[in-house]
Amino acid sequence: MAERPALLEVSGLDAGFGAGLVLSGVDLDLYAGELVALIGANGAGKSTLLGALSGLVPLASGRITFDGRDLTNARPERVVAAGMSHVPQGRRLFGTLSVEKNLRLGAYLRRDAEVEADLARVMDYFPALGDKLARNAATLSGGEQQMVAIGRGLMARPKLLMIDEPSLGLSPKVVERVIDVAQAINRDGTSILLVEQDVLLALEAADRGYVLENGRVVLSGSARELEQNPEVRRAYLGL
Amino acid sequence: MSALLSIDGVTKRFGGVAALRAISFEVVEGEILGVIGPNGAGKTTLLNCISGVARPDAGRIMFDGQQIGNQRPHRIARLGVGRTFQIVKPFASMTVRENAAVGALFGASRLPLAGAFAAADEVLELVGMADKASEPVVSLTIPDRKRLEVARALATRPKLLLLDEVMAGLNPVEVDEALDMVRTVHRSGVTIVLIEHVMRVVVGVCRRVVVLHFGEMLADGTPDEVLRDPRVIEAYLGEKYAKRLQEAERDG
Repeated sequence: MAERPALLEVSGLDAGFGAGLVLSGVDLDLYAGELVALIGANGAGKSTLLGALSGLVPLASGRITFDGRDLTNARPERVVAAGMSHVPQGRRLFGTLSVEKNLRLGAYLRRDAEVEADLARVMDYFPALGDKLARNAATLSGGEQQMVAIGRGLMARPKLLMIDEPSLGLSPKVVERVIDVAQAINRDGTSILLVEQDVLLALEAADRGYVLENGRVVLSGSARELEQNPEVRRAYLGL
Repeated sequence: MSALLSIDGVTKRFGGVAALRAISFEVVEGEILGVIGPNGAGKTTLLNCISGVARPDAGRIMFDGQQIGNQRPHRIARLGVGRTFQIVKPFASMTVRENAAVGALFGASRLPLAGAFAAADEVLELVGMADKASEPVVSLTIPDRKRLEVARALATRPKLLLLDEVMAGLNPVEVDEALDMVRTVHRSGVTIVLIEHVMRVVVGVCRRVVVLHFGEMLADGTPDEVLRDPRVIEAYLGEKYAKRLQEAERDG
C-alpha cells in the first residue's frame, strides 16, 4: 500500500481543550478502502482525536491532509464537504426530529441529485429503519439510534466515515449487527475509522489498528498482529 | 492494624440508577489505597459519600470510630477527612497562600488567621509550591492548580485524604511529579485514598487497589492480583478479549 498516497494523513498532531493538551504527537495514516480501528482505554484521547480531525477540537500543532487537501485547522463544514463524516459518541441525534429528517440533515451541504438514492442506500443497510422514518428519533431503541447516526453520516456521501464508540450502551447482539453493517459499508468502498474501547470488537472488524494511550499512539500495525500483541493489554491496564 | 475508614454495604441511587451497589471495604491507617474504574464506575460518587457531599441510601461509613454516613460535609472535614475535587475551584481573586490558608481556617485544624497562614506555608512546602505562595491563582498552570487543590485539602489537617483524579490532564512527566508529591504527603503521615481512571497511576504508589465498574466492586487486592483478574480485564478491554485471554491461559 505504501506506493499510493494515504487518503488521510495525520502527522505530529497536538490537540486539546484549554490549557491542557490531550493529544501529543499523533501520527496516523489511513488508505482508501481501509477499515482502521482506533482503540485505547477510557480517557486515552480517542474521541478527542476524532474531534480534532473534524475541526471540533482546536489543534496546537501538526498537520491533517485528506484526499490531497490540507485540512489543518479547517472548519467542520469544510471537513464534511471534503468527504469526512463524523458519527459521534452517544449518537447525538436530533431527538425531536423524525428519523428521516435526521438522515436528510446528513446531506445538508449537498446540492446534487443523488440524495434520494443515498437515502435508499441507507435503508438497504438498515432495513429496520424502514417503517420508522416518521418517528421521532428519541423514541427509537439505542441500536436503532446508532443506525440512524451512521446513516446520517453516510448521507454526506463521505469517502471516510469516522464512527465513535458504536457499542456504547448496546447489547452484544446489537453491537455485532452494527459492526457487520460497518464492514458492509466498508466493502462497498467507504473507508472507515472506527473508534472503540472494546479491543477485539474493533480489531476483528479492522484491517489495521492504532492504540492510543494517554494521548499518544503507542502501538500500530495490522489488526491480526495487534490481536495477539500483549502490549495492547499493557496499554489498557498500565502494566 | 485497625481500620481508619470502614465502608459497609454502601449503596447510592440516582433515580433508577444505582451509582454504587453494596460497596464494602476498609482503609487501614497509614496506607495508600487506589480506587480505579472506567468513567461512570462510581468512583466520585463513592468519594462524595465518604466526604458527605452525597448521602448513601444504604450502608454504613465509619471513620475513626464514628459513623459519618449521615453527617454533613463540614462536620466530616472537621473530623479529619480532607478531599480534593476533580474540577478545581480555587478562589480566583486570592493568592496561592491565601487559598491554602482557607483550608486551615475551616478544616479539622480551625486555626486563627496567623496560624492558618503558617499552616498554609507548611503545606505549600510539602506539595512543592512554596515558591509560588504569593502568586495569584489565575496564573497557575494545570499541574500547579492540582497541587494547590491538594494543599488546600491538606491544610485542613486531615487524617484521611481523598484525592479525586489529581493526575487527570497531566502529561507523563507531570504525572511522575504528582506521584512524588503523593508519596511525600503520605510520608508526612496522612492516609490516602487515591481515585484514578488511569491504572498506571495507582500501581506506582498503591499496594492495594479497589476496582469499581458500573457501581459494583469488581476486585480488591494488590495491583498485580487486580490486573490479572478476568473481570477487571473484561471491564477494561471488553468481553471478547477477556474470554480469549482465559482460553489462552487454559490451553497454556
